[in-house]
Amino acid sequence: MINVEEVIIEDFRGIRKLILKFNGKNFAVCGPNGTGKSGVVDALEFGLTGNISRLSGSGTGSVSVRAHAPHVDSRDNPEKAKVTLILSIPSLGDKKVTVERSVANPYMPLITPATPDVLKIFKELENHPEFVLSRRELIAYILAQPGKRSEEIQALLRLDQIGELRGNLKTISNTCNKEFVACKKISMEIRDHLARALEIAELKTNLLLKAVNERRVLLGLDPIKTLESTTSLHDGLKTGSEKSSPSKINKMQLAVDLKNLQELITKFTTVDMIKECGDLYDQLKVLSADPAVVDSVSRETFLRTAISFIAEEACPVCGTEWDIDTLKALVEVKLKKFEDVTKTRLRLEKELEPIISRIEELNESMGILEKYIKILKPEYIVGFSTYRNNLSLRIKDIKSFLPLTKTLSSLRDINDVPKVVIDTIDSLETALAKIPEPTKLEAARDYLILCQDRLETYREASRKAKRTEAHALLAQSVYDIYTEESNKVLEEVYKQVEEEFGHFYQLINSDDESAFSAKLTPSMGKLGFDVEFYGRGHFPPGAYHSEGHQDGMGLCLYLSLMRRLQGSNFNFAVLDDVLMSVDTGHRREVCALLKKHFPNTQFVLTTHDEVWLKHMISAGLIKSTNFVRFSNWTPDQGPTEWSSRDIWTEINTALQKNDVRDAASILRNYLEYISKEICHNLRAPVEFKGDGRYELGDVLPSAVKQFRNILLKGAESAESWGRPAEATTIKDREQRVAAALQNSNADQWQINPAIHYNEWANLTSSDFGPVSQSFHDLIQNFICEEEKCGGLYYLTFVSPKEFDSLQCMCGKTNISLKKQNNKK
Amino acid sequence: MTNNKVIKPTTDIRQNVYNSFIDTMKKRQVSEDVLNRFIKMFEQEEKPSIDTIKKALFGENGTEL
Repeated sequence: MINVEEVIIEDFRGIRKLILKFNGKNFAVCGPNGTGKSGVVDALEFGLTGNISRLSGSGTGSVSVRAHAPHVDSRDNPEKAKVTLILSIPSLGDKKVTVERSVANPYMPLITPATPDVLKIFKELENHPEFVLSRRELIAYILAQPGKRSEEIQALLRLDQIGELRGNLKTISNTCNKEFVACKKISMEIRDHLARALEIAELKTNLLLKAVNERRVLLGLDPIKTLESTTSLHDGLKTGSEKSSPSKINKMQLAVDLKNLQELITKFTTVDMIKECGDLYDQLKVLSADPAVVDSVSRETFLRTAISFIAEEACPVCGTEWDIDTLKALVEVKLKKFEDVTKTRLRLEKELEPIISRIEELNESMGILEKYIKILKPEYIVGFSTYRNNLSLRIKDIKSFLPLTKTLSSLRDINDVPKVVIDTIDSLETALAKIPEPTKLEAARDYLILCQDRLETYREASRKAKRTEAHALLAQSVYDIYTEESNKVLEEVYKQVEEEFGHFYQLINSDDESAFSAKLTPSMGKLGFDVEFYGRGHFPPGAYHSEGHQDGMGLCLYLSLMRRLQGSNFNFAVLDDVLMSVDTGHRREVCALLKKHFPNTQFVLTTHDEVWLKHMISAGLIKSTNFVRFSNWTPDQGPTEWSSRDIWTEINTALQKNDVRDAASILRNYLEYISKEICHNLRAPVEFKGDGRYELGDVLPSAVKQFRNILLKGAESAESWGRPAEATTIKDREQRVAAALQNSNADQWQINPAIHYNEWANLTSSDFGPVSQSFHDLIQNFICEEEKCGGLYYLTFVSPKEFDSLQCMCGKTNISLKKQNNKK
Repeated sequence: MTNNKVIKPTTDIRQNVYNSFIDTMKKRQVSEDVLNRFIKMFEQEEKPSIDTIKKALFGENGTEL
């Protein structure tokens, strides 16, 4: 989307004023911890988006951008804290844009020019803050739980809406299903009421028609032949008043309902039933007397409840996604500890089931009688209903099982039916007897009206159950289709990411994991991630791979995801102290990966590791002028810039200050470092040292000797292929190296005493200047002269011991080392 | 090489999911009303709420089938 040309940071985070010129190229910020590197990262993010991730979002508590982005001494003047960025936009023909953003108005930046195409780019940037990658985030992708990883990666790919829609469809499907189950239950209860009113054992069409037609015939109505969804059982009853005014009390129905309740009470109070309830009460009492057992039962219940909720892919409380199988296995292991308790609990629950069922029947039957009581014996309704409500509460407590004290309390004297209930039933019986016996015709009419009323209620409940069932089926079917299709598309995306990730990782670990592969496995909102480990199979990344390898994986996954996300617009990324644990050998390959495979992406890299910075420069990832080194930081001054110039300018500056000691130290350290790099690139033989401490004398002569040998081989190869001019050019090059070596060798003695023997005081700037120049001339021979390349030469191989060519990163130098076969 | 592949922007990935979803619903003979409501929802809403999805599934009053 953008390239950063320059950043100007004022009174922002730990920085007072800092101007960094990136020139649209890769840039490095190096310095020990606490020297202000993160301030630069924050400034870039703030300048481009108006936000600073590490000061916002979850886990940041009372810290905020507005309060804490300004420099601590400007905390009351957020308008002073600002970041100005000079950008170029590749997609708009490298259009130059300036954006100035102050903490006082973070979302009202001054953008020049503020044309619609430029504003659109800024909108995109605000939506894509993932151009900043910290090590913490990088490791989060690698080591996350599958559900969380899926969430993180989908959020990064801006595919979170896909997951959210799936989650919402699932919620709707579950809700519809629950609604259907509830409606079905109600419908079945109403069906029983209808059957009872019809006075038939089972609700079957033939039985219903037989019972109804008997009454219809009595009333002189035509029998109903078929029962349709709109059939009226009392069709033909002539006047409206006949239909709508049944007797207030259907004597026959009351008799049936009353008898039903009496029978239930009798069953509920038999000696056997009382004994059954008493035995269960005693067992529960014993159980509740032991606090350890109570605790175990509680825990076991909690875990079992937990398992029942693991049926969905996310926590029903907080919505955090989880791995169903892993979590279930974990809970089941814990449940195993309570095996005995589980057995006891399950047995007691089973024994309680018939008692609960009896109480429920009793409760329901009492409910039916309440309406008669209100009409015939209203003075009893309070006492009767109070007992019924009490029964409802007891049912709830006994069903819950826990806390045991409540279950015990509800079970105690459960069979004692209060006198008020018995009195109510008796008085209803008396009242029933006083109701005049209806004539057969009246009874038939009441029968038809009551049954039609219950049939209508049943039809409505049945329709509702069918509707909710259809909703549930549709919701489930749409959810299944969506899950299936989104998985298919995402699998394809993940397959591409997986392929590219594996390829990138192979590139940075070509020495020992060239056969590496990865598996990204999406399923039900989760994303499994396994990586191949040295031919032993695929395992989670954190299982066997070292931290360094995991860092490498994180970067590769990030790069492949960003490429998938932004495609050719992946022009800018800030890698904040990533790869801190990647070892030296692999860092070279990381540089090569970034340089070769992301030539259009500008990377800003921060590191506290000087060696890492040197790697970046020697590999040509960072140009020798495109970095800043912070040496120190104070609240008043902010970061102190050690130098943003190249090494030779630094040496010259030291010499201009007559600081020979500093100049000699810089030169010595640099030569040691660059010589090791050259030895590595050219596979120069160096005498092994167990402590790994190679000094300049150990590595530089070897590097130069190897380089000269390679050049001579290159000349021989050119001659063998009949290219004498090329051979001459290479030989000239070898001679230049020899001459430069001679110059530098003559003065090398002066460096050592300057460092080791404190004889620097005896040297002057004019003595040391030529020394520095001679080494500069020598080292330049190992570096590509192309400005855009600037990388060290390196060897390519036919096989581990057979050199193929000497090359540079840009390809300008490509000296074949293979001779024509017949001219050995 | 991987970097020569044609890269699909993310919005296309999301659109692909929606398109495949609609196509499969058609194949499975989900009613045209439901299909049309989902198409309209995808056009109008980037992040549809549960209520919006319910309306797409069951119609404005939640009773259509």
